Parts: sequence; structure tokens; C-alpha cells
Amino acid sequence: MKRLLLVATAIIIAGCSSSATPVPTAPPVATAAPTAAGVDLSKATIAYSGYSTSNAYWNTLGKSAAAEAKAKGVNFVDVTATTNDSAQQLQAVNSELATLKSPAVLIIGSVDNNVFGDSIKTAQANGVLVLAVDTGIDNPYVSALIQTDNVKAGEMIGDLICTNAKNKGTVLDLGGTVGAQTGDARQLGVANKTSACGMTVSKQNGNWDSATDVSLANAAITADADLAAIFVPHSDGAAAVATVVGQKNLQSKIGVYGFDGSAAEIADITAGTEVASIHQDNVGMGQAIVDDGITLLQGGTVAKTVLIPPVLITKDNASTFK
Amino acid sequence: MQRQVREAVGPLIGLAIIWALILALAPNARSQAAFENVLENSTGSGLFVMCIGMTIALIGNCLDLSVGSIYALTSVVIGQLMMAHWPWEIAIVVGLVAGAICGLVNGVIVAGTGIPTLIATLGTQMAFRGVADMWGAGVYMGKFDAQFDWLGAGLMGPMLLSAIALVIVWFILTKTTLGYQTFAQGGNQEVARLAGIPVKRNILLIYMICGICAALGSIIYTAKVDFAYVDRGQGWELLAIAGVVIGGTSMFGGLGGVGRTVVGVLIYESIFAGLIYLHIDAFWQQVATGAVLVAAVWLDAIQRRTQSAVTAAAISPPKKRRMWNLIRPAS
Repeated sequence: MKRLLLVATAIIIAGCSSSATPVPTAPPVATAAPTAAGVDLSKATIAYSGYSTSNAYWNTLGKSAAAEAKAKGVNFVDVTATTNDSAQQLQAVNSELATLKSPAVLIIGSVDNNVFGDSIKTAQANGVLVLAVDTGIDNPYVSALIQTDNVKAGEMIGDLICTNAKNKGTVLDLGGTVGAQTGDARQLGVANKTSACGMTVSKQNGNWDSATDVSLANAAITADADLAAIFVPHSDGAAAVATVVGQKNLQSKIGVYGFDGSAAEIADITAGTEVASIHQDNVGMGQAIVDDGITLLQGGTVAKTVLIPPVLITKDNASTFK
Repeated sequence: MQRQVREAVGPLIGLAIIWALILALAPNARSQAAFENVLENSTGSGLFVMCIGMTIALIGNCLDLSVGSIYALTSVVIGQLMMAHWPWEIAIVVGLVAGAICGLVNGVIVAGTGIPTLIATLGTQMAFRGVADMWGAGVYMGKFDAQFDWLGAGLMGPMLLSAIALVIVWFILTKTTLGYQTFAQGGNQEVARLAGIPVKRNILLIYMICGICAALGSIIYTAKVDFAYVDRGQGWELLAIAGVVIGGTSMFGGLGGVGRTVVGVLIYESIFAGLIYLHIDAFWQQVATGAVLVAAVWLDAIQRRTQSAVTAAAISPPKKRRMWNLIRPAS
């Protein structure tokens, strides 16, 4: 009975947890550090919890952050969970917070940006600064956010779709998990531009799972005769959908557009089965968020939100991203 | 065989109703392509084969929450081997062996320590995922041999491999001693043990079959998308359980069959595709699947209660006789 309840509850909760999260679009605002100046950096700790250890994009970001902290002489602790499971991430963050004392910084690249309310209260009580990277956390105590301008990136893809489809047809506009800020923002950007240019937008959510993305794409190919483009907001899914569309010899009719520009995507773009993707400066983000943490520890000020301009990857410039 | 078909009638009626609704409400689904799409999504993702393995696991009361991680680990194993220029045939065999070893680990933990299956396989879920991460995180593994890709591309390869898995597991369940013993120990493990059934050995075999099926599912999907990736299969254990239970295999062990699972997976994928054809947001698919799952388990519980009542009536004296016992004169 317990197993039954676990399975049923998990599925129902998964289906119901769909509260939308506001996308941070406000311009950067300077903020004062809540700690005293003159902290000895050798006694400070920067704790980092990324999306998962198995994601290539996040791995690079985490390694970049670790290298920057080491270069600046700050103790760096990586508490990233192995899977992109919000409960596991929350557990890891809370465990770290149980021992983390000021002077310290907690950097979160969240799986689910809605779950950290109590953790941030604990951090505040312990004098631990909280920063967000890649994905915004809607909490006033979060001192800084550095992320790609996901809406802008989606709009760049949307513009390209309009141009390539000559403003006609349907676009399958996939998001990540419903309510996940980054996926929502990317999906929104694509929808903004493609609906404005007169295309029909079909929004769905693939839950960051490539097999689900492929199933959604297959169903849309069957259902919509005028399907002209498919946008997938993450690398694994985009590469998978591009391969499947290529196997059906539909790449000249249906353009696949992705995000993150992984090696698999670059190979597809070069081969012509994927039209375009977005490069995010994950190395730069890892460095910058650690630098922000150090600046705040030293009593300086940093921009509240930094939106890093995305770079469009197409067949013309794909070779430069290998 | 007749019993299998008879037991699948209920879920089949459910599937027919779902398709009747889809065809009535969505004109764009009235094509052969729409049916092929459901078959392609079921088999090409590897979910179907994973569900076949989960069927024997649930019948034997051997819940396996690690299948998603085995799916990811196998993807990494075959991806790494093929990137190291191993022949794809050898890579596949090693991938299946990896799945079997993972299953063996599950079986040893469950049978050897008596740790509940839920906890044991939750632990190995994390461990297998960690091993996959260690070997495959951040590594590009793709553009494999075209012959390997055929296993997953389109409909033919996935259908063929899924059918092979289906026939093998059906044969095991219905024609072998292991199959009969799986049903027996799934119904009541202690009674099965007292009856001389080698319960521990069977647990090892059941988990190994489940692991091999998860590995085969991963091979199919890796071939379909032509690249391996470590971050796959997350949450798939719940999808696999849902597919099996929706078909009518009991969550409590001892009842079920692969015929039901075929229908269960088709119901799951038909709901998914149907909502797309109707242009309804995908997250409603989860709500709908959850509702169907709860209904399926509820029907299973009713079926069990009915069977218990019938059995009790069969072994009890007739009511009239008991009444007569109460009122008859003392001798």
C-alpha cells in the first residue's frame, strides 16, 4: 500500500505542481553587501549547488566556479546532487547550511527555484550570503543573479524561425518542467516573436526529458500538417529531436532549434539536421558568480541581476564552438 | 493464453474508449500515422521494453526503482565503448550484461539482506546513477555506426526488439517453472518458501531480467537518437510502474501478465498523443495518467476483494447449513 501511495502521489504531484514563476526582467540594480568589510578570504567558504553532476553544461559551470575560487584563495565546496532532483538538491543545500557559518556564500543553480524559501531564511540567520546562477530565485535576500538572458535568447531563436518559415505555419514551442524559470523564459521568448510574426504557437512541456521531447515532436508532426519549426529548450532534447526529424527526412520542411549548443548539437547543426542553438557562457558565469561572492564578502557591491547576452549558433559559425 | 487475453479485456476496453474519444474529437488523428506514432513513441523510447521487465518484477513482488538509472548507465556503457571503436554488436552485449549485473546487485541486496525492495532499489538507483556520472558526465558520445542506428530508427527496429523481449518474458512467465514460481512467490513469499520454492534464487533472476530489459530499452533509444547521454531515464521508474499497473498487473504481486502491459503502455502513450492531437497542454497528460493509474489500482483492489470473497465462500459451509446448525436440536 505504501508503494502504491508513493507512486500515485508522485505522479499526481508531478501533474499538479505547475505554479508559474516570474521571469526576472528588471534591469540590474546595485546592492550593498550585508557583511562587514575586510573579511579574511582564507577563512571564508563558498558552497555551490548546481543543477546536477551529470549535465555537461552544469559540470563546466561548476568547474569554472571551483577554479575561480581556488585562484582567489577561497575554500570551495561543491554540494551538487547527482540528479536534477529538486528534493535531493534541497536536502544537499540544507545539509551544507547546517554547518556553513559566516563568512560564507551559498551559490545555487536551482533545479526548482520555488523550493528554497526556508533554506534562505536559515542562510540569512547564519549570515550566509545567497547568490543565484543561471536560474533566478524569487527572494529578496538573494544578493545577485547571473544568467543568460533567456527571454532574449528565445526571441533570437523566434526571429530566426519567422525568417526561415517565412512567417507561416505552426511552431512547436517546448518548455522544460512547468514553472521552471529558465525553460519558461526560453519558451516565452520564442512565443513572443513567432506569434508576433503570425505563426501559430503550440506550447508544450517536455520536462527536460529528451524522450518526452521526441514523443511530443512525433505527435506534433502527425497532428499539424503545417508544422514548420520545433524549439527544444535544452541540448539533449534538441539533438534527439533533430535526429528523429532527420530520420524522417523532414529537416527541409521542419526546422529544429535548440539551446546550450552541446557537442551533439554542434554536430547536428554542421550536418544540417538542426538549424540553430544558443551558446551560453557557462565558464564566464561560473567565474563571475564567484567573483560576485568574493566582492560581497569584502563589503563591496555588485549588480543585483546580470543578464549575459546569448550567442546564436548557426551553420555559419558552428565550427567556432567545437 | 486464453486467460491472458481474458484478463486484458478490461484494459482493452479502456484503450478502445480512449481511441474512440480521440478519433471523435481530433480529426487530425484519423490516420494510420497517428497509430504508428503511438507505437513509435512506445517502442522507440525503450519504455515498452522497460515495462515488460517491470511486469515480471511486480508479479514477483520485486519492485525495482533503479530501472531509470540502469537505462542511463547502459547508455553511457555502450556510448563509451562505441566511441572507443568497439564493434557495436559487442557494445550491445556488454550493455545487456551491465543491465544484468545491475539486476544481480539488486537481487543480492534484496534476497541477501532482507532490506525492503523499495529501499534497496532506491539506494541502487542513486548508486547506478553515480557510476554513470563518473564515466559519462560531460562526455560527447554520438554519431554511431549506421547499422547500430537501425535498431532504434523508425518503427521496424524498435518494434522487432520489443517483440522479442515481449515473447521471451511471456514465455518465461507462462511456460517455465520460474514463471509459475514468480506468480506463487509474488502472491505470498512466505508460503512459497515453505512450499519449497527457491525464493532467493528467483529474486536474483527476476531482478536480472528486469535489468536486462531496462538496458535493452536504453539501447533502443540510444540507437534512435544516435547519441548516448548520462542524464536520461530520470523518473522513468515511475513511468514503467504506471505503464504496467495501468494494464492491470497488480502492484501487490502474484497477478498480471505481459499482455496486460502491452495494453497499459498503449493506454499511457495514447493519452499522451491524444492530448497533443487535441492541442491540450502536455502537463494534463500527467494528471490524466495519474487518474488512470489510481483507477487501475482501485479496480485491482476490488478484483482482489472479490476473489477473496469467492475463495472464502468456497471453503466455508453453505449459509443455510450454518443456519441449520444454529437452530437444529441438540443431540
